[in-house]
Amino acid sequence: MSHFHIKTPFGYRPVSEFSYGGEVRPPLSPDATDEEAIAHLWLRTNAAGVQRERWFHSSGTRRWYTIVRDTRTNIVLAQPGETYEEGSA
Amino acid sequence: MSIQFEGREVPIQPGDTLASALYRDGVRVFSRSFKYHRPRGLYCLSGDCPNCLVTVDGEVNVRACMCKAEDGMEVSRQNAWPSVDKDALNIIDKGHFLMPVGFYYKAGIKPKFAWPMAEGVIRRVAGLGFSDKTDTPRDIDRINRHPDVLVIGAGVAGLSAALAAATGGRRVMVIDEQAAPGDRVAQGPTRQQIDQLAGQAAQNPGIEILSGTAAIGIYEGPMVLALRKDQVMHIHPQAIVIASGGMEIHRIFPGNDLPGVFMARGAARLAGAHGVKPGDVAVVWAETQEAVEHARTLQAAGVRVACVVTAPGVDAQGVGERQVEGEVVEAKGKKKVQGAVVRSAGGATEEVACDLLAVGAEIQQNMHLPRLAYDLPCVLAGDAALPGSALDVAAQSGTQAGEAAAQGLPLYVNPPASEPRPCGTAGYVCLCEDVSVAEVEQAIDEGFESAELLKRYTTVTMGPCQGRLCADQLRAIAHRKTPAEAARVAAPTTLRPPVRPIKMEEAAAGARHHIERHTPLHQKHLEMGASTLWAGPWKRIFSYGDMQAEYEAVRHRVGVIDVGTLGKFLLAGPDVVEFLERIYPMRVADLEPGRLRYGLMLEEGGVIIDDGTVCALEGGAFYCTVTTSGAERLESWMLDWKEAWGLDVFVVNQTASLAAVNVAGPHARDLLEKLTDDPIDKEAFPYLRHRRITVNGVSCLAIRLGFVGELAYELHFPAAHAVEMWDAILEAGREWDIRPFGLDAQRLLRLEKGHIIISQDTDFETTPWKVSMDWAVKLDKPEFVGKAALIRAQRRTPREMLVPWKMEPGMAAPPEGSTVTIGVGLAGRVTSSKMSYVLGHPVGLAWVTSEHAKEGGTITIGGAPATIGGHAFYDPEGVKLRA
Amino acid sequence: MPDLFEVKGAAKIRCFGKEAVLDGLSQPAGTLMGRIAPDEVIFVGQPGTAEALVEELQGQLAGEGNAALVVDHTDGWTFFSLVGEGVEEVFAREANWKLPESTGAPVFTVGKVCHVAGKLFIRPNRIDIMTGGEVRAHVHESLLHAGHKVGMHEVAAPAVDPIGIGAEGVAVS
Repeated sequence: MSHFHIKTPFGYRPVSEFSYGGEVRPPLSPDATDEEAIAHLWLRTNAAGVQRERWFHSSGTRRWYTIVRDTRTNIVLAQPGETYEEGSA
Repeated sequence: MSIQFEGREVPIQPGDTLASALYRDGVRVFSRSFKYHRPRGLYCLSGDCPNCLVTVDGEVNVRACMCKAEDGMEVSRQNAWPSVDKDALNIIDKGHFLMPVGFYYKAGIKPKFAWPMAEGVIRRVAGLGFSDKTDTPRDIDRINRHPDVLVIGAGVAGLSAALAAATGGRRVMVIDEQAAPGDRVAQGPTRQQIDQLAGQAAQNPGIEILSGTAAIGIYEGPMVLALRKDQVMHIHPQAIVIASGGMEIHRIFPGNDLPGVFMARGAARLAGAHGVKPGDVAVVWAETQEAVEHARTLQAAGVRVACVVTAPGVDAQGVGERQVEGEVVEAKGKKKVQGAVVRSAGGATEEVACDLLAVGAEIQQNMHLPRLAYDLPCVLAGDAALPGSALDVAAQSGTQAGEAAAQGLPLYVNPPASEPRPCGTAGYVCLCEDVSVAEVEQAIDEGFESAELLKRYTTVTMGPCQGRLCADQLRAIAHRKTPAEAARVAAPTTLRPPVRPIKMEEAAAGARHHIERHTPLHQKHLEMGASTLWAGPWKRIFSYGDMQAEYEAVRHRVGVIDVGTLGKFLLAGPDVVEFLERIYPMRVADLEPGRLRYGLMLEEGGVIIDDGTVCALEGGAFYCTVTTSGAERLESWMLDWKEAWGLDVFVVNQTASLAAVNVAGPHARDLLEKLTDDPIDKEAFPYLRHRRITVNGVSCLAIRLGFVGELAYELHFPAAHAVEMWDAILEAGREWDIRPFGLDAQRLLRLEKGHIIISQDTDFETTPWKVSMDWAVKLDKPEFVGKAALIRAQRRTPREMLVPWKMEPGMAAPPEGSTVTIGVGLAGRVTSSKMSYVLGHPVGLAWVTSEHAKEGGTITIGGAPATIGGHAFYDPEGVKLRA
Repeated sequence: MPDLFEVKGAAKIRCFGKEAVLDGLSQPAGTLMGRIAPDEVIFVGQPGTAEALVEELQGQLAGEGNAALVVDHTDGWTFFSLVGEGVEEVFAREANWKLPESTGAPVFTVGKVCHVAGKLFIRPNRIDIMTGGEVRAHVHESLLHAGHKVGMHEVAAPAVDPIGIGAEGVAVS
């Protein structure tokens, strides 16, 4: 049972209050090649490890939050607003 | 005070469990083993083994040693015929060769008819109790708790941890499976210390002790699932101290499962805590100093301890009639223990007559809970950390754990698996599933070398004890047989919750029903006899009983439908026009107040994800509708883009605040004119316009749309007025025999117009190009979601197109999902199909390969010919909806 | 033992705008206030006060033009009140998060309750729960079911001051 907490202005909240928005991806450049566009649309890193990702607080503030999480352990390495430095896990 | 036991009365004493009461009364055989129906007696008395499972008041598989005896309980044993004492099925024990390990993979394969017959017999003779299938599950309470620190286990270490954690001002919860701390520990130094610590804890306002509460799983969060009487508790602590103790290793030797063979702690419990003599003459095998204490407890209870067999370094001076350094290698006896074969350190063996063999083996930690705590803020204390530790060491480790927990714990990391301890070469490994050492070895010979495979093939560790007794023994046997590859074959098997057996009704605690979303008119519809269906998260109205009558009313007179489930958004703010220009593929900036436009919503790949309308309001705000199941999803989607673009816009979901009904049909205007003084004629309020009008005294946003293909007014107004509005419309429409209509009728009405339903007619590859909705896309706009992908998609011809089709009168509408063929080739599939009453022939929508998707072309649907249409089949010029 | 009642028609007005602008809003008398986000605030007033509240708040925000927005959600959300000893026990059966503590002044919070999105005011021996009107039946049934375990009674909302704020509006932390 995957379970962790995300920090909101109303305190740490169980992930069951959020819906997943996927890994953070850079926006697609308007002059991207076909290959870049296809990769942007269809390919995901699906990291087994550290991932920057988006969560929508659907049962609460109805705002988006960005966190850094280790997908193998569900340990949140950086809560919204916190910075995460590579390798600090 | 007494219990009813298989037709006779058995007296009970205060503090009795069912096990102690029955044992005092002379019951020795508590169950028959799972497969071979061997007699089994009390063994652990700590709820860890399967030997004492009985049926209590109709509830099967209750652990007699853990169940407090209460006056009037009806208790019976299980899995035997005609009785547990004289079990005729014990004959199976004489024929082990008929049931080799894994026999259910080997037996009854040929002839085929044999297995179902055999299965029925096996089901009856194997297994545990028989549950009453007519019983209704109880509604088990589920509750959440949020202590700062949770301590599992109220022994010396656990209570020490609780006291240490609570001094830091933290709120501490202690859960323990027993009826009270120390309840099951015989009088002596351990009990004294538990009583003293429990007394201190009871005085501490920061500590809450919940007895009779078993931890059955630890999950991420952390969250601990605990089971109490009629209640499931979800505990969400900041930190966990696991002080769930240890237990004596289940020693394997011939006869190790005979009634009369006890774990030494179990025998001492019976003697010391319940005052019941487990036997008259005992042999105590003391591998630990603790076990010598148990021998003393037995002596004090009046048991004659004939011999204490000690491991090197254990001092049993003065306990028992004599002491032998060595080990017990066999228990003799047929239906119960009659003697123990002792091999002394010198190698000589002798048989000592006894009716009780108390095995005080080395202590191993109860590893189930710790192994579930991996990567969670958790610390171990007492026997769970240092198995077999002395009292002062346990107390100290508890204190340290408690202090650490109060300050915040590092994440727990499982220690590397230790090499399994050597285990015996004959005897029963698994009491639950009745598996002997020989059977495990046979399975290894068959190629199932590793513990994980052996577990699945032999089912060792998979019974009620969940491997508490046997998991390490299974590893040891695998290790012994394939020593060169110990790391592979003897790796610990995976442990999963629940660590204690849990009933289905307990697993289901807190789950009750699907959440239904209702419009404010839902109750009204039900009162009118409407049938419902799921539409996304909503329960919507399918029909009021006569779909055709509902349909006819809309086409020829007037009807009304509840469309309150539509997603409704108010969008405003300085950047709202720019935002909408980017969200929608059509133009929004030129929309004057009072006008509206149909809009698709696309994702980045150009695929249609929703559709609806955009109304430009006075003052610069916009009112947008989306489909029934789309509101929540699109709200988060829009907010995501708002953030990405950094635009100053408010996205306000008004779905539940506003009721919405669509009054449709040739007499819709006549009807509304009875309820409003505002001008709603064709000139004042034409098609594709919206106006704020007062209907039945309520200010409404009225929208002229054509989804069903008739003159129609969609009214959006505050939800509190829904019922009175609905009643007023039905009353006003009475002169035209108005009908409320449901989704079934609406689906036909729209299909006759060729209108698509997103996700019924479209899929995850559907671009506007594929559904011929080029008109809804303005590629000359600077930017909108999906634009780049649409330009790319335009470069090639789509593989298939969505087209309307019709069949000849007299033919039946094919089922939705039917295949479309041309000649002998597959050419597509039907997404929507219905018989049109007004046209007199079936109509529908289908995906057809592009080269055949031409107006007037012929396709075959389910063997019948159909013609591809161009525009709507009904009122193709749209005269009626513009009326 | 706690009581459960529903305050039908309690005014619920949401205001959107820049953080500094919302910070500068003065809380209308007789309301509860909840700050959902820097750019969003909600005021809850007694039944029948929605129109006046909208007018007052629009007046306060008039200078902001289209950079601020006032929306009436009175009909969109339910307002259930749990009042009396043991309200936390009812809540603990319907939410898996820790209730914030209130020493007196109402504490506003949001979160999942009865498996749906909720906005809550917490006071000693009182929890007010607002959820979407579309799940009213579900929330009502869930609260009754949870309350049943602790002997809760369903009663009619008080005729006077059903949202329980006294004569004056109370500030919310």
